Amino acid sequence: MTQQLKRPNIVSVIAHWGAAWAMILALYFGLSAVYGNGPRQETFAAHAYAGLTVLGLVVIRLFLRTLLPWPKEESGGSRIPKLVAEAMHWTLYALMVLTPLTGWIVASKMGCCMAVPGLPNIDRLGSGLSIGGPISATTAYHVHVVFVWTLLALISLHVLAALFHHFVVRDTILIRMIPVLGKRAGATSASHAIANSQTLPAE
Amino acid sequence: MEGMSEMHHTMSHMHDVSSSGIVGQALGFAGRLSAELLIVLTSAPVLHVLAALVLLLAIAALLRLLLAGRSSQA
Repeated sequence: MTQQLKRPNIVSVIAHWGAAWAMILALYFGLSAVYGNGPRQETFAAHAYAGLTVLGLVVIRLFLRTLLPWPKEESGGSRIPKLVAEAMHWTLYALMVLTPLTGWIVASKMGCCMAVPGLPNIDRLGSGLSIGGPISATTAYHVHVVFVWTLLALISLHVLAALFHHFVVRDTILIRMIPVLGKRAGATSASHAIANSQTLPAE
Repeated sequence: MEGMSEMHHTMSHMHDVSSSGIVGQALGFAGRLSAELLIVLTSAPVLHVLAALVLLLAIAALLRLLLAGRSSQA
């Protein structure tokens, strides 16, 4: 008895895990650049490249999420957890766009002393458009730091929620985001379905 | 007795100062953060990139509609 597992497209799954690794690297290089004793310029550049990788990958994910239908979990239950999960995902997307962006503003404003090779100045990107006001490096840096810690807190909740779904609710939300478990997915989802049918009251 | 009263007065004054200090600091931090957030979200670089992103997502939505229309015809 196997159950057809509805997976998101493989590019989105790869971009999800790629962004996760890039965020770990960005955090490591960012903390090393601020608090470490190593070469600050190179570490800062590595932090910037990792952050831009996150930005690129989240743009790809948003594009694919708009272009292709995202599989819905067909489990019953209250609407409130689903709304909270949806709000959490869109907040994570917003922070994954805005955090690298504020970092890019800081790097562009501090070109004198913390230049990142190959990184274009963000002020020149939309010079033809006359929207928005000026911003200082200090303001962008303060907001960047607040975004980073908020992002880390939300990612921790995201990981805990994924583990809760896998081990407590016993659904396929975590399995469908891990391609390595593809061979086991059918059997696991079937066992989860059996477990759910035994524990949940019949509707 | 007078000394006790004076100490009580001093202690209550210190308590008032410390509690209003914490609340004041928290409000000050929240106010500064809100102002900085507003400055960042309305700054030219952020609005330029967000405008480009919205345009890209509009193209994706249009492609989705076109693909759906083509598959329903076929």
